[in-house]
Amino acid sequence: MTSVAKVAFVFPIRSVRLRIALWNTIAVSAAVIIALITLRQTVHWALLNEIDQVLSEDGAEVRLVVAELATDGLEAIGEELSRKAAGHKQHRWFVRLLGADNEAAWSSQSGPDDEIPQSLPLAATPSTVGNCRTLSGMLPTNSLGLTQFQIGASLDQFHDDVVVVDRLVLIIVAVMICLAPLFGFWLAGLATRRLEEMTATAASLHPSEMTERLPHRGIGDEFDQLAVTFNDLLDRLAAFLEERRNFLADAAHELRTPLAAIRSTSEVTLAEDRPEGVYRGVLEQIIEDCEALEVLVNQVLLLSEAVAFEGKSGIESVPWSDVIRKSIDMFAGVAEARDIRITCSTDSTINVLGSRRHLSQVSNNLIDNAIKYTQPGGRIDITTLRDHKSGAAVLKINDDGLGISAADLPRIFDRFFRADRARHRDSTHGTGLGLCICKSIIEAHRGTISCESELGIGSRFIVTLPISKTNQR
Amino acid sequence: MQVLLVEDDPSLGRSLQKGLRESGALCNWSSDGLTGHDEAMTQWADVIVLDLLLPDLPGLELLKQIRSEGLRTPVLILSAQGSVDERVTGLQHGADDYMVKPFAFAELLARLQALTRRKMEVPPQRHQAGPLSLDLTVRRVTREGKEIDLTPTEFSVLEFLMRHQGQVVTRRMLCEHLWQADWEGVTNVVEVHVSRLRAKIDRGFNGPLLQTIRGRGYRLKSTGESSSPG
Repeated sequence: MTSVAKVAFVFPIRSVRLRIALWNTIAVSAAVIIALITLRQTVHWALLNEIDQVLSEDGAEVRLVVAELATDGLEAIGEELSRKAAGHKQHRWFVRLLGADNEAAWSSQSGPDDEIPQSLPLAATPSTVGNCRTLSGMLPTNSLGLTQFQIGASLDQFHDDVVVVDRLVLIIVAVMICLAPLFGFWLAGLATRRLEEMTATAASLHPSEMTERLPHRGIGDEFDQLAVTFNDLLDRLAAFLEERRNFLADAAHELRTPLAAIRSTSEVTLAEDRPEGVYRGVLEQIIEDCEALEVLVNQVLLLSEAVAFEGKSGIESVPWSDVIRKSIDMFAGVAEARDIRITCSTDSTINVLGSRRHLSQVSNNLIDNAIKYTQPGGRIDITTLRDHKSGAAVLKINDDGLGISAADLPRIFDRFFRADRARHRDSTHGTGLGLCICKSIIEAHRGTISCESELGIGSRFIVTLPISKTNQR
Repeated sequence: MQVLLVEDDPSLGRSLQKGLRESGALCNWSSDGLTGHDEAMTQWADVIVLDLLLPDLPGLELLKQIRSEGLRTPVLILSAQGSVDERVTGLQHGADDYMVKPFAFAELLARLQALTRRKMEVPPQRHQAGPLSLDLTVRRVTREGKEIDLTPTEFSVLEFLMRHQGQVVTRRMLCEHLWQADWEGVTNVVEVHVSRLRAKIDRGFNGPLLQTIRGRGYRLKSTGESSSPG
């Protein structure tokens, strides 16, 4: 059977895929722009630095030329420097030598003289003047009276290079901004495709067939974790449903016996004419059977209530010892009639948080149970105390009765479980739900219930409940 | 006592009407919500017995309507829904009592009588049932002038039986009276006290007063009944 997944349409702007793509675009674009701007600046700086390097080497060379050729006169120096200027013509390299009066004594022809101011600051580092990179410096003392030199080179080439770099940067940024969303959308699609698969599978699940599970690849990624978590939930749900189903079947089964009894009693009675007294007896019998049915139905309801107890109304701070003393009071007559002694030591300061009605069901059931399985002359000891280590209220009910066999012990809290020992006794066997109800109620109160027992020696039921912090009384 | 019964189940409705009539009450029976509402608003009743799951008009709705229309007749809700929340809701909507199906007829009758009893009536301090008398002020019980010594529980049981003399009192009613608890278990926690009480008030006297009605409960013979010797 293939069931078509009915997945609600997700408005695009709200889809995870689109949002991932959007964030991806923003992040990628920002990273690319920052990287490219940094790169551009670095290239810019490197180019300029190279020019500066050349200029300072040239400065040193000019100084050497002046020092060496001063004796040969200004023309010799000019010739030498002109040759150099001609060699660097494509950079429009120039040099100017200044005299003591700061007037140009000599300058190379290639220089854009007019652009260069006469006096340049003396600086160890080159500076940009107009479209030129210039460097000026002192000359060594010489016979020609030359004091300063100024050299420079055009930045045209540099600007051309920078423009190329900038254009490249712009193109890459534009391409990235166009590609990032597309790429991001594609990647996000890859990532969310498994989500879509999961949604489709989950949508096809039906409570009555809890066999399907989400697939996982076993690589342990987030989707696998989600699938495993979801499958665990499904397992628990399936177990819960199974449990409910069994419960329903068990309950129906238990109802069948008293119903059959009522029906057959009535049919047999009606089969022949009988004296009036017989009819009366049968009707009384039917009322008794109905009573048994009522008890069973009420207990089944109580059990389902106890399971769904949490968060319901009727939760209060319950004085635990009061509840227990009331139960003891209720069973005192029965115990006395059977010659069973009940002793009790309770700590009246203990309050537990919960439903009074349900908690008294627990103590009633446990005391009833203890009386049922204790022989005449026996005794039952009931203690409540505060366990300081765990901070819990502890209830212990000891009896020296029949005890429970090791084989039965693990099953006594199962529903409709009746140990064989119950059948030895007269009509006191119950619905088989008492202890199961106790367990459900106590667990719904976040407590624990356990039993220690030895056949022929006695049993001990131990209930722990969290102590309520608020003392309402 | 005039009872208006609003109950859609024909089998239960018929048996309740029969039972109420036989115990001396007048009973009108409506099997749907709208008829029930009209009956409640037009016919006098001392008490209304109301089912919750009704065709046409749900019981709670009916209750809300008659209360908003100013009807003050006591209402007892008789419902198969019996969780604490459901009871609380019912009572908050203006019901005076709540009983969960299945129920014992004797208990329904007793509750209806309690609801219709005049509010201001002071409970008597002395009860008399034939030769038996009980004085609440000094907590003394005598039969034919002979003083009978009872435990507090036995005294309480007898007081309850005397208040309902002539009627059947169920185990459950006694259990609630004695310990304010509904014990649903199989163990009969009341029986032992009733047996002892019977031993004290009947043994050695002529004619038993305290009867066990099999499958239903207990009954104390009222003053009017002749206690046949034997």
